[in-house]
Amino acid sequence: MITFATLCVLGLLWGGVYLLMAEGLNLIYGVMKVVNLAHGDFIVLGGLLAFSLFERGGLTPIAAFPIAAGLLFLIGMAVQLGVLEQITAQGPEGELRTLLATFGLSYVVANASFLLWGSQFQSIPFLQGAVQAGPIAVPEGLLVCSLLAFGVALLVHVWLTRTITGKSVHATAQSALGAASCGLNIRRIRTLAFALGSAMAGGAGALVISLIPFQTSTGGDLTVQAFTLIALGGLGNYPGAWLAAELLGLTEVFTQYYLGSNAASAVVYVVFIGVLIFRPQGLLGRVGRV
Amino acid sequence: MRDRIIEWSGFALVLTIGIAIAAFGSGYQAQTLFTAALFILLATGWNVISGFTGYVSFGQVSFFGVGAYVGALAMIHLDAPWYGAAAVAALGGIVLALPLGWVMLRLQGIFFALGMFGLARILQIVASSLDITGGAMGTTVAVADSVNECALVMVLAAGAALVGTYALMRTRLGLRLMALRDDAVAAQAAGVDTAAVRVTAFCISAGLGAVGGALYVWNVGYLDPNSAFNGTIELQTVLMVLAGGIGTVWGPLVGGVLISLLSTALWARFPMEQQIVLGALTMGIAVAMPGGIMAALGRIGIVRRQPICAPDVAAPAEAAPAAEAAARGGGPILSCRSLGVAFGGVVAVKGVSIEARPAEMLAVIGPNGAGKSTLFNLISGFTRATQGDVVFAGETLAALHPHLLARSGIARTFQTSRLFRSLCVWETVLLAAASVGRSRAAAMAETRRILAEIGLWEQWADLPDTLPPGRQRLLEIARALALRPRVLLLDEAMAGMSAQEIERVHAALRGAMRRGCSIVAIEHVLPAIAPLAARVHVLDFGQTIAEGVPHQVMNDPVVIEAYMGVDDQEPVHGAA
Amino acid sequence: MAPPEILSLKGVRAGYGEVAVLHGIDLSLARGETLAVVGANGAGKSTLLRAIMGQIALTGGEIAFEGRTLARFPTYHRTRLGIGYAPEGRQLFPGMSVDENLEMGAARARPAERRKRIERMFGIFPKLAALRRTHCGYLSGGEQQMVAIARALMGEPRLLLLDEPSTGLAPRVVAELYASLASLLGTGLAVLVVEQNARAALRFAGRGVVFEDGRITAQGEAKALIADRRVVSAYVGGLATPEWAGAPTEG
Repeated sequence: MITFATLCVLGLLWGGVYLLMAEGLNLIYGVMKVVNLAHGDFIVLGGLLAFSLFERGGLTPIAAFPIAAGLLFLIGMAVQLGVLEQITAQGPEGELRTLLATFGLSYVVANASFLLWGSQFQSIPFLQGAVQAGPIAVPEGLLVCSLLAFGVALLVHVWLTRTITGKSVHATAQSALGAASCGLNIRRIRTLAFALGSAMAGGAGALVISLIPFQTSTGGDLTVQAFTLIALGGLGNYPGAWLAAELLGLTEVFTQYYLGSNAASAVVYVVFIGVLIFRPQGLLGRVGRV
Repeated sequence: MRDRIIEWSGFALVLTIGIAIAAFGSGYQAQTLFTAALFILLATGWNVISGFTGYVSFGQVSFFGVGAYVGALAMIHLDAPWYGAAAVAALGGIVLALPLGWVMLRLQGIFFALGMFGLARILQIVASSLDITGGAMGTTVAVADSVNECALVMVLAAGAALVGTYALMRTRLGLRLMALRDDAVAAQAAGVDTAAVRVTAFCISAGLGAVGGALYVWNVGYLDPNSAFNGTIELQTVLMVLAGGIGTVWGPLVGGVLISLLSTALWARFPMEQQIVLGALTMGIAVAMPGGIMAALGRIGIVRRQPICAPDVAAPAEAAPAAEAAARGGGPILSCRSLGVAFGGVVAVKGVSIEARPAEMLAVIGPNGAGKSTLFNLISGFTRATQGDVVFAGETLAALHPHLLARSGIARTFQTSRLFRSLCVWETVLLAAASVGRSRAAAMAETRRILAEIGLWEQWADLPDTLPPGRQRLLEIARALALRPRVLLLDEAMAGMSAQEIERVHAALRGAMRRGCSIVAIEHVLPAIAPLAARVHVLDFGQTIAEGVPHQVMNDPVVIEAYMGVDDQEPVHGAA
Repeated sequence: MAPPEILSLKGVRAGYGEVAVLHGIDLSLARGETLAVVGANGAGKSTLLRAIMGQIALTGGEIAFEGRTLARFPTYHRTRLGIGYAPEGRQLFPGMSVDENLEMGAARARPAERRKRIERMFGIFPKLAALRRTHCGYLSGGEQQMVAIARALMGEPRLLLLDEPSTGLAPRVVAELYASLASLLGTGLAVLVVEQNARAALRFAGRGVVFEDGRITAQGEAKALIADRRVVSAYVGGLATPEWAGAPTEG
């Protein structure tokens, strides 16, 4: 019974961590209908950067968070302006070319990281203790990351629904032509969204590397994991992504405990393909369109 | 002709060089050649599903890996020679692709691409956890006697794959692949069984990937999950096709040779940076030259794709067989009985009953948003009715796929023309003519007859983009007529046509009606079809508001009101 | 001194890809004038508005707003210059409330000013006041159209472009909509409305233009056009070309 409760708590917390890593992808998809295949590599890059800051400068992941986020913000901005904005084709052709471009980008980022950090697994020993909640021991690092994930999720939600800039981003996601008719500079908004999404990936990486050891080739798995999550939640749907994150966290923790770690790594992909086939619209479906 | 000489002499040159290196080169040269040829083979396979069929996959390496394992197991447990292993691997790839294809190919765009990526990861995990594959440690097999032999086999395999795709793209199946890629809905309307076609393409592509895998194991003599499902293979494969020209027969060869040379040179000088450069190149090509080298050559008029089953232009056209006049009137061939559908609570069509009789035209008119096109989607199987039914030739149509309806005699055109951008006029019509069970020769004769009748024969080799809008409409009608329909549904087919073009369409439609074809024509405005229409049916807000003979309907105040707005009140505002 | 013309089009040609839709349109609109562009489907009416807003590139001719040529301005900039645009299909933000939709229409204004303008919109479209917290995805077609127009007005434009506001609306709702629009006039706002529903638009407007195949085939005082048989023929067709009207059908 205690085991079950522990697994549940761990699953929910891991869900928070997964959410943290997927939020940027969700923001970018929501606004631009673009899936950035380099998203996972951005996370790894942010994480390895935090690792170096820790190794060389003794910075904690919390302190590295804004630095990693800031760097990835700039990289995201450069990618959007230099690459994605240059693809002018519309419809399926545009989608395809964007996909291929981010496919190439993921190799560029992953191998640039490889050049800088090599291929070893890296991790930051940070918040190694455990918080005792009754009979259940919760690892501190997991708790902090998870709480931060919800913090970030809440912040993004407030930003998108309460501030005028955030609302502009939200509006552009719903109708680009409508936004342009409101005098909004869509190009600038798209760049902002992509840069922010990338920054969120970088920031997430800086925190998560204290929980999961990263290697430069981990990026692809993280991309699929993040995409699974937002697809399960209904692409661009924020409450849906949260629900999906919790489900995924629980699924993985339970699979790991009962079936072993190989099965746990496979379960993400199984869920992923299952979602694509059976619920391509996500768990919550979509808001009715005008 | 010139293009064909360039193509084949180029191919022969590359093949000869390949064979020469394989026969006389050093071990290092042969090994490099083996790798290059392997990638050309994989690229050719990827091109079949992602280039010709339009389903971009980031998991083609799955089939390479599966082929490698099947090949290795065949060598270990069956003592199979390399060709036996390759054959078993190809079979294994295809057997895996059949069920997978049915499932995965329901996904589109990014979903399919990432789904395949996920599949590769699942297979990698499976391979690491099974005993038979040697788990994560991998397995060893008897390595080939000489690298030169491997290289020779690989060069020949890649060459055969290229010749195979060349041949494939000269067949009607090739035509269907491209039609599916360009517009799946229009392909269905032209009678193409899109599900079967894409699974076929998937299997071919899987088989080629698997052969590559089996030969790879034979070459290196060792296999582990990481090398079998290596993402780097994916990148190089995709990049080669992109660089050469996605969706062209020779693209994988051109791109393969170039990228192999480049990556070998990079590997020698900058092994660490190699992948960065290749990734950046992929990005650059996707952004700046999506058609690759073949498209660039095509633009300056070299090595353009030749039409499939091209007609013998010199031969005189056969005289059209005299159409036996079909009896007019009689019972309806198609009747809709209180048909209705709603989308998300909004009623689009409600209680509409129409009857189409043989050799006669029924016009359906109505203002914007009246539900006309929705009515056609219901009849042609693209939308399911929630109410009422459609009876065609005495049978109730229920849940039939659009392509089956198209083949059984209900042809349609679309409100905004949906043509296949990479198929020329001839191929567009041939596609439909060939999908109703005619022999190749009969389909070609029929295509020629229709093009001559509708006045597009002179432009048989033109691509739709280069035709003026009126001609594009004509082509769409020609495609529908090639199905030899018993009911032809025209959706605003004559919008944007010149008087002369309308004249031609009228002639073609009269011809079709003489053969007994029933026509239901949606038009926004009546004059274009009034001379042909026997009866008119007027829709507004999804419901029938009037029906009868043309002049009677057009003077009906209810109809004029529906178009122009109500007239029962004072102006809300005078001149400003 | 602003020129009397707020909008002028000279020989405007535009289309999609190789397909030309507008074949040399000359049109001008004075300050405070209302113009209805009517015609059948595919006549090029919506394309005209897209060309004015920079949604498609011109292949010839020139469009000027208040004497300034628009060629180098992207869509959002044209809005900022003073052109309000309620596009085809309304293009609302369905996941946002009526209030928020209107807010976006004046995203660059100060919050206090924004609130003031929103209240003004509720004066013009009183029905919306009660729905201000409702997500636009749940509004009826007529209400959505009101939001679209109000949103276009939030930027305080001097020229308002409306693309088929009556599409899919019942006649009573159309009348209501145009009555609200009528209350806007007299403030110097010029309105160019593109409509399939010719009567409603022509009754509203001062001047009318009939489009056929991307060309202007008739124009004049709107009220006179309502009765013009050429208008009827551009739509329903045939009434002006009686040679087939009573003819027997082909056999």
